[in-house]
Amino acid sequence: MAYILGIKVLPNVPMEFVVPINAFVFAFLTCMLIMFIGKIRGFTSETLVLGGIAISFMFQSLLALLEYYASEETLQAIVFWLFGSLTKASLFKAQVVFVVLAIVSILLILKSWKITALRLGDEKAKSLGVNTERLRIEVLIYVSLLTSVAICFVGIIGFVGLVAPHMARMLIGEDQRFLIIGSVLCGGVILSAGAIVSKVIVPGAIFPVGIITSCSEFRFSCFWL
Amino acid sequence: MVEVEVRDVSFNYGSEAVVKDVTLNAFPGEVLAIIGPNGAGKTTLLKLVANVIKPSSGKIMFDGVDIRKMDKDEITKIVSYSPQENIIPSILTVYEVVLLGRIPYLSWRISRNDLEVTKNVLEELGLEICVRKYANQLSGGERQMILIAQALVREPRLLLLDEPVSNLDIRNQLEILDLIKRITRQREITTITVLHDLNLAARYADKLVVLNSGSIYAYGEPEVVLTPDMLSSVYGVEAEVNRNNGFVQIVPIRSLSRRIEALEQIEQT
Repeated sequence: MAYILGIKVLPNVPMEFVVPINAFVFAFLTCMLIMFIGKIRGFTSETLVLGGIAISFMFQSLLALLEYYASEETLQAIVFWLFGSLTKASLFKAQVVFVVLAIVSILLILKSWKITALRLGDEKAKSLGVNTERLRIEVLIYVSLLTSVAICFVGIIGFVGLVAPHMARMLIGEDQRFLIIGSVLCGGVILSAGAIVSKVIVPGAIFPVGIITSCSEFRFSCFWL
Repeated sequence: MVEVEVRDVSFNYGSEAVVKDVTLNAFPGEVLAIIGPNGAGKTTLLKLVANVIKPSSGKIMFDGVDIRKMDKDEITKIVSYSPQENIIPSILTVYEVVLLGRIPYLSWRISRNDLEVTKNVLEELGLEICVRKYANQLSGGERQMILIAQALVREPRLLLLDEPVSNLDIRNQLEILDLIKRITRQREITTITVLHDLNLAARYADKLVVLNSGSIYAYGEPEVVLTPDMLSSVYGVEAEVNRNNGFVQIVPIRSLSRRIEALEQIEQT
């Protein structure tokens, strides 16, 4: 939106941060929308997943609409942002992401036993005294914070978030105290590997890393899941 | 020690009343079994006592205190409720599943006491050989055992079990119910359990509650409650009630349902 319509969610921000802040606000709004669906339909994992899919289709069509009206240069900028690229990262941006990651990780680890209990199924978790609805809402807020901060700087780098937790789960099981940390580490490894490949694959040019991760992880998903 | 008092409790799913005006007491050191046909509201009643669902009317009290006025964490520490469903979908080891029973006490570091209690319960149930196995790879009966272990590690003062032995073989049924009864007596805890097997209920329960369409049909000691009359009007079954080796024993003879009578008539004509 920032590219085409020049809309800023917050006024008086330097141009460099318009896209990140817009991305953050809209990613967060999306998560709130999913929460709203959950509020109406009940916080089961099925409603959250299906609601997420429905919302992602809606945003895809809205995006197509924007692209339709965009000029050639802005279209290029949008497409490049959608690829996801680490070239846009800077030390300052990395620091912001790190701070958010650290805070959210600590909060999640404090809840790790409850999240582990949730893996036994809702009924069991409730019988263990876990307020499953509240836990889901809390975790969803943390997750939306994390995702929005991550994608707002570097664009959409697909599939890392999907595959890293599964990889960690296969390596260390589902005790969330370790799985949370394991997932973070696996994500880091996957992204770094992707970044290396993106620099090596075409000599002299840097491939957008989002393309590499999505491609390689499609293979991963087919073989390992 | 918790004395449970259920007073005039009703519960509706939508407009349908599943539990109607139920009043009963459960005392420390005693096993109370809820029996009744399918859909009589047994599980719902147990969930109400476990504070998993809230009554539409009436109140439930632990030691004279209304549970709505109690702190939720406090209730969690007192009560251990083991639901009927025993599917464990996740990649967790037996040890982890059992340890989760102590969730109100757990933090990043697991305390020595938590480890000790978990170890003792696993040994008592003979599960120590399979602690490293993944819970989703076990048989239905083994899963039931570890969920009972999970209920016991909390060291509850009120133990609520929904059909704890339905998937177990006959020897494990006797062993588990013996253990539950022994723990109930020794630790003076209050145990309320849903049981389908009337012979096991007669053998292990100190008191029985018979639920029929959400209301209490009978309440009392097994010898008093289990009569041919009760079995025909609640279950629709003609049965003999015998006494063998000091146990009340129920021998079903035939179903009294109209469906079967109608079938018999069709066959005759």
